[in-house]
Amino acid sequence: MSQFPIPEWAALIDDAQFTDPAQVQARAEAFESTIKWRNILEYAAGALAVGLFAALSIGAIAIGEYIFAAAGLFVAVCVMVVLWQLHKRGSHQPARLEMPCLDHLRSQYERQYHALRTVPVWYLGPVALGLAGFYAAFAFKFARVGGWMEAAEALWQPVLVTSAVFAGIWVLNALAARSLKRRIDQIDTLAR
Amino acid sequence: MNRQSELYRKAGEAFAPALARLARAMERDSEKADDLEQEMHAALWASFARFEEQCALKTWVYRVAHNVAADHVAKAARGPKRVPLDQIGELPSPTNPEQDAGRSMVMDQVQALILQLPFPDAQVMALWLEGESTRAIAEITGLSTSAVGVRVHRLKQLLAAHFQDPSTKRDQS
Repeated sequence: MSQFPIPEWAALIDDAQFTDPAQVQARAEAFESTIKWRNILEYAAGALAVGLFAALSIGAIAIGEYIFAAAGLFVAVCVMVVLWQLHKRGSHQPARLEMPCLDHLRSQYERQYHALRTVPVWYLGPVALGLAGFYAAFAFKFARVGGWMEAAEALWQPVLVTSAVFAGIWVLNALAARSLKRRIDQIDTLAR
Repeated sequence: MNRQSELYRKAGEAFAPALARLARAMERDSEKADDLEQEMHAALWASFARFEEQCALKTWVYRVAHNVAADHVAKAARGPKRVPLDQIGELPSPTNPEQDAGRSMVMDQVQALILQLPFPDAQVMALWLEGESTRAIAEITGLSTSAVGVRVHRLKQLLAAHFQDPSTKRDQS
C-alpha cells in the first residue's frame, strides 16, 4: 500500500471504480465505427477531387485542348498520391501503451518529426508538380498566341506567389521539425 | 472470468482512485477528465490481452494510464504554457479556488502545477503524489533514477513552503 507524501492528495478521490468491461467494449466499438466513417469520408473527398480533375480533362479533350487535358490528369494523379500518403500516415500502428512513458513520448515526437521533415516530398512535391503542370499548360497556350515573352509576362506573378506560399509552408514545417528534434534530444538525455 | 477480465478487475481494485486522480490532474475540465479516465480504462482493458507479466501489474497500469494522458494532452488544441520544474519559483496561483468549498486552495495549486509542467515532469509529480518510490517512478517513466531524484527533490522544495515538509512523511529517495 502506498504512503502518500500529501494525504490530502489521496483524499481528493478515494472511491473510484473502473468502468464496466461491457461499457469499455462498447466504447471501443464506437471508436472503431468513428474511424470507419472518417475513412469513408476521406475516400469520398479523394474520389470527388480526382473525379473533378478527370472531368476537367475529359472536357478539355472534347474542345481539343490536349495540353490542359494532360495537366488535369497529372493533377488527378498528384492528388491521389497526396491522399494515399495522408491515409498511410494517418493509419499508424496502434500504440503499445505499456512502454515506458519516455519511450512513448519519444516515439510520438519521432513520428511527428519524420512527417514534418518529409512534407516537401510527400505533400508539397506532388501538389507543386500538379500546379506546375497547369502553369505549363497555360504557358503553352499563351506562347502559341503571343510568344514566350507574353506567356512569361502573364504568368510570372502567379508563379512567384505560388512559389512563395510553398516556400513559406516548407520553412514553417522545417522550423516545427527542428523544434521536435530538440525535444527528442532532450528526452534522450533524460533516459537511462 | 477470463484472464483479461481478472487482470482488469484486480487493477481496478488497486488503482481506480489513482487513475481518477491522474485524469483530474491532467485535465481541468471535469467532463473531459471523466472521458480521459474512461479512455484509460479502455486502453488498460485492451492492453491486458498482451500482459505476460513482463513487469509488475502496477508498472503496467501506470505506464498505460500515463501514456493515454500524455496523448490526451498532446491532442488538446491549446494548453497552458508549460514550464519545466527547474524553472518554477513557486506554486502557481489557484485557477479556481472557489470551485469546491471542501477542497483546499493548496491542492488546487498542486493540480495547477501539474498542468503547468511539461512531460515527463508532470508524470514524475503525479506518481510522487501517489507515494511511488524513485525507483518505481524511474521504471514507469523510463527516466534514469538520478533524473527522477532531481525532480522529486525540486518538488519537495516547492511544496515545503505550503506543507509541513512532505519529505519527513516519507523519504523516498
